[in-house]
Amino acid sequence: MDHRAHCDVLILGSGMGGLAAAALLARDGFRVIVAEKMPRLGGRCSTMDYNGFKCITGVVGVETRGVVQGLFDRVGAGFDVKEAGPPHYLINGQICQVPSRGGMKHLMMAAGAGAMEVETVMNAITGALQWRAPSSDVPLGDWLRQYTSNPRIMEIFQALVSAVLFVNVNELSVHTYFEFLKKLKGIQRFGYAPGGSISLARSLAKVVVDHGGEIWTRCRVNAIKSRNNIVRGATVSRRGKNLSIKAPVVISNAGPKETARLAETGIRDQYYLRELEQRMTPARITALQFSMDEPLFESNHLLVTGTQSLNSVYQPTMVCPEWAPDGAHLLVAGSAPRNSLEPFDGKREIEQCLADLRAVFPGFESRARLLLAGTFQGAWPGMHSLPGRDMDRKTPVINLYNVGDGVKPFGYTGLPGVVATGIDVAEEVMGRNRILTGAP
Amino acid sequence: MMVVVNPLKCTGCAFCVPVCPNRAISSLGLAEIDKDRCVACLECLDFCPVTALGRGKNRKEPHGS
Ligand SMILES: Cc1cc2nc3c(=O)[nH]c(=O)nc-3n(C[C@H](O)[C@H](O)[C@H](O)COP(=O)(O)OP(=O)(O)OC[C@H]3O[C@@H](n4cnc5c(N)ncnc54)[C@H](O)[C@@H]3O)c2cc1C
Ligand code: SF4
Ligand code: SF4
Repeated sequence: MDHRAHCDVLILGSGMGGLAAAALLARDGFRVIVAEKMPRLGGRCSTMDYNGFKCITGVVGVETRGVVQGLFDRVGAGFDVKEAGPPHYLINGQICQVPSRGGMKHLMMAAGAGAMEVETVMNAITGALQWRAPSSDVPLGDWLRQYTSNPRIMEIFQALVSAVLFVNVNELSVHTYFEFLKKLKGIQRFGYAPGGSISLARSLAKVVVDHGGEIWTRCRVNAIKSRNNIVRGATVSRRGKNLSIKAPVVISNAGPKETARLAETGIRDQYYLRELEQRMTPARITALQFSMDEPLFESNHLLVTGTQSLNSVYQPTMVCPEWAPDGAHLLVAGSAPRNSLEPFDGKREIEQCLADLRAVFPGFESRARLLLAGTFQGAWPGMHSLPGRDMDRKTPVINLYNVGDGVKPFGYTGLPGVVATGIDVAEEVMGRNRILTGAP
Repeated sequence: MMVVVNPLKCTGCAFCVPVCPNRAISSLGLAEIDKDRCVACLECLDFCPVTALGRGKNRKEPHGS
């Protein structure tokens, strides 16, 4: 080993889960080092400059006035996000705005459902939200089919859960769905960061650095070290050198499986490893980014119903023109396969998403030019686990935690879920430290 | 020398595409390197989240060339 370094908390990865924890801990006086293997911050909440466009690496829309903004306010980080306004749906070729009250009712009417049918479904939803949560082992699709056989109603639910939870109505437990509605209100409020999604990561990183923490990019963690089942730090490579970092607490943002691989020699509990294999099912999604001279439609975001795999289309430049060169627009189309467990063929997914775009938007081909086609699966997925199948944030190695989208709290998704894991782990570390040191 | 893609590791995220100063990379579910354009500057390597890019001999060229 060439060198040694030490800190109170080593954070492996600068995704939003890692940075949320790092900002809270640095502010609380912990000496923090964040080791990020990539040259840029943010992981799947970052920005790639390409032909003058701020292309996404993951996060497009950022939840506002919720968990994410709460964390930024708490640590004193700038939260520069412009709100996008109410979501819109594309139903039967018509764009429908979701009103702030009675949204679901309005959508079902737009889908051509009769008054009786709408009332039956609404009563069931009210009961599930306000009286008794439905059984956890029933898929949302089966539960809904008790109250309606209207395929267009099913498609409204499908578009939302596919776009936001990265799963299908026939795969998501109805219990998880209603928990999501209760916890995150279905993410009704969101926006875009004018500086690109990377600006959120940079804003948290600034808090870390302002409070004496360090952020090392191009620094890969090669192994997490432990002795007697207690974490000791990690070995990393940085600027062509190998370095040993001593740390009494390690927080990993690499995803639960990768954490276990890096800590391999320290994890004796085979049942934990088996649980990882059984529970962790990565969400597979496709994101196509296009440049356009004119917007494709008159809103910044559409949830798309009635397609094979396309579920959402964003035009962030309608709200943040900074995301494209002068006068141009960026379009991001998201899709997911209708079966989350079938083998994933990236090329086929991209072709299907393109076919859906052509079918839904007349003249699409002549109006939009493909910039980037990304598929997210396997070790670099849409999310490391499907909703309701997350792992525990603690690992079997004492003081080795996971943060990120493989360990989300129940009912949470995407960025709010990820930020919640960072808050939870940071609070646990701060609380235990107070007990150990006797601090108030 | 050029950069090669490990097709068993590549997830198709396309993070490497905007990085290449020579536009040698394209990706539609799997990254591909244009051997005539790649100058082996290795700039793309650090941007791959799953270490699918590596230095390698150009496998497509016949032996002895
Ligand atoms: C295409 C796409 C679109 C999305 N859109 C949205 C959206 O609009 N809204 C939303 O809320 N969510 C969205 N999501 C989900 C969201 O992007 C992720 O849930 C979130 O960004 C994941 O954050 P994370 O903390 O889990 O870590 P990640 O972002 O995965 O970060 C982990 C970091 O750790 C680093 N790392 C890994 N291993 C090592 C190592 N050995 N050494 C050093 N560093 C390491 C990685 O390089 C990476 O930077 C989207 C995801 C995708 C893929
Ligand atoms: S090594 Fe350099 S030239 Fe070759 S593909 Fe990577 S970035 Fe492009
Ligand atoms: S960055 Fe890596 S995983 Fe992503 S497309 Fe390029 S080679 Fe494949």
